[in-house]
Amino acid sequence: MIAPPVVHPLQRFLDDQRPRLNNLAQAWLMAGAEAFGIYTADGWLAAWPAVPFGQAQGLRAPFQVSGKRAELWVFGLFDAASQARLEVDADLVQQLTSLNTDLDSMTVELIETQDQLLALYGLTDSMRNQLRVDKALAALLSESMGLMRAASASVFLNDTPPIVVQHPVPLVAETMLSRLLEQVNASGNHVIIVPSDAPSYGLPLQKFSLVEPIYVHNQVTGILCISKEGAFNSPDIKLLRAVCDQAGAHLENLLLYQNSLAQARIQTEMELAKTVQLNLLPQQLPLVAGLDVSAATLPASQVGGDFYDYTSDPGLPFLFTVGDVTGKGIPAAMLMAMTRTMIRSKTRMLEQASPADIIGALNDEMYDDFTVIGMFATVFIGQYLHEDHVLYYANAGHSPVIFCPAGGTAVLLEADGTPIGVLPTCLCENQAIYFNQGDLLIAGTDGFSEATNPQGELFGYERLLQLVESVAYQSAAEIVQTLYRAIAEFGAGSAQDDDQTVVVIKGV
Amino acid sequence: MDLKTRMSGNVAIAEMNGRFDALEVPKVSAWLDTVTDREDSRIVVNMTGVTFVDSTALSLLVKGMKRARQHNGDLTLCGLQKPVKVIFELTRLDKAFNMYEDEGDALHALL
Repeated sequence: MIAPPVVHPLQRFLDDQRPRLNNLAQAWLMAGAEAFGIYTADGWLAAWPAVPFGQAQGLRAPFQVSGKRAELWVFGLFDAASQARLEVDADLVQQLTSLNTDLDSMTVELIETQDQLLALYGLTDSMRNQLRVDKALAALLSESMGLMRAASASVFLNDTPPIVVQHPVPLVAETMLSRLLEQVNASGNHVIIVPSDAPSYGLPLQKFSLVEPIYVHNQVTGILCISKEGAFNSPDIKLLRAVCDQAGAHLENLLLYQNSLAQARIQTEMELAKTVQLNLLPQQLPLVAGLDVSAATLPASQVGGDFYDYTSDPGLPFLFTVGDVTGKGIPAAMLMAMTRTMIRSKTRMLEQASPADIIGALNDEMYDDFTVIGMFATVFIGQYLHEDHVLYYANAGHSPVIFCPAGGTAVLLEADGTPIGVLPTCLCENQAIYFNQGDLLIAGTDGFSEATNPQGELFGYERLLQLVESVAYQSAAEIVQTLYRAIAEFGAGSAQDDDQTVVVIKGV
Repeated sequence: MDLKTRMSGNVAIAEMNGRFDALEVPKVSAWLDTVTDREDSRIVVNMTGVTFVDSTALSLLVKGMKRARQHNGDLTLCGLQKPVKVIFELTRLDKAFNMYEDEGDALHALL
């Protein structure tokens, strides 16, 4: 763009107010003056009727216009009254010229402000229709390029992963944009890259580039880089600053919206996973000769890995399982579902399978899966033979499992095998206990023993054993209720960190 | 929980204290990833100052132990306080890990 020639402010005034200056000159001519003129350092700016040649004499009165000296001249008059009148005229011209200049600059500012407002309106309008960050950035790019009459532009947002939008083609490397962001962040202001420096930034050759920061939550989170032929002037920089401020505010809202959306989606998926998980648990209590059975699970806020199950196929002994896959979240829930299904399939596939056989086969089958995910599962499997009044069990690292003989002392049935997925071979052995009327077996998960009160104290095994002894006279369903109530009272409103699952078997 | 790590010869040692639970697992996991990712990785986790271990922490230790053994090394534990030792005994993880009274014994066993 070619810069307009510099116009003397008095010339501008002359162009705008020529009829009035004509009147002034005519008044002097009528008063007997030979000529009237305006003189500057560059020579005569105007004269009525013309500047007299030769040795013409006259009066003059100096004045200042934008710091430059000028003079009003009257030829052919020499009296003091004319000198005084000429000085008043000079002062008037000086005042009017100054007002004219002020009016000009106010008009320019008004036009600039109007342009900025229109630009920001355009930007807001095109960005607000975009709900995706990359689309909003593309709208920002397009609007900014139009405003600056730019040849190319890039916008870089330091998200995870970074988002880069460039037009007309991806000209600038992402690493370079990241470097420019650091530079802008360090300086806290825009950066102008002149054509001679463009190659070292990988920016378009022979172009000026302006890099403006985009603030999101008061942090420099992105940059807008505009490249064009000519240098950037002050209104350009102001306009782009306003554009980036507006874009930053919109991005802030957009990121907040996206985060809420992602959170809501995760929350919905978690709720769904929890529902699926609860549906994997037995929906009805089994009817087993010689036993009163009850069970329940209270999931923590996140999906977890607790599970219990029964199989009571006709002709086969009643078999029940309680397990806990370590950790929380979807991986634990998925491994829990796999473990439960695998136990069911091994129980049906292995003829007359004992609890230890099932646990051994389960470990063989699932060791690799647990290794890949980096988790393990504790599993207790019990098998009740009604005719013999014997309960066989195998325990792969599971606790607490409590046995309380009728009228006796409650004891922990400690595990003898490592949990599933810890060692390539799980060496569990079958254990057997006589299980008669009034005898009680409670298999819970660590959500019970590790429940904490507001002081951070664990419920612990001792308390659990004492509690079991004190409620042993109750029915299985009542015992389940009492256990949950006791844990809730102990917690006194503390958050439940882990699932709490329990299966109660009582001889009847 | 504090985690201090150091090397003694070619044995990587981590010293912890306080509660070792799901909240603390990420930083220990990051360290374990670096030390179990090489051949002959020998690791000692000194738990003298640890007062509680939850199941997420246990699974991290198991994962580290399995990875170290895959690389012909081992992850051993030492200095377990009684309540922590009980957790290992109840889950029978005491059968899976090599456990020692103190760091000297653990280092000696790994040499």
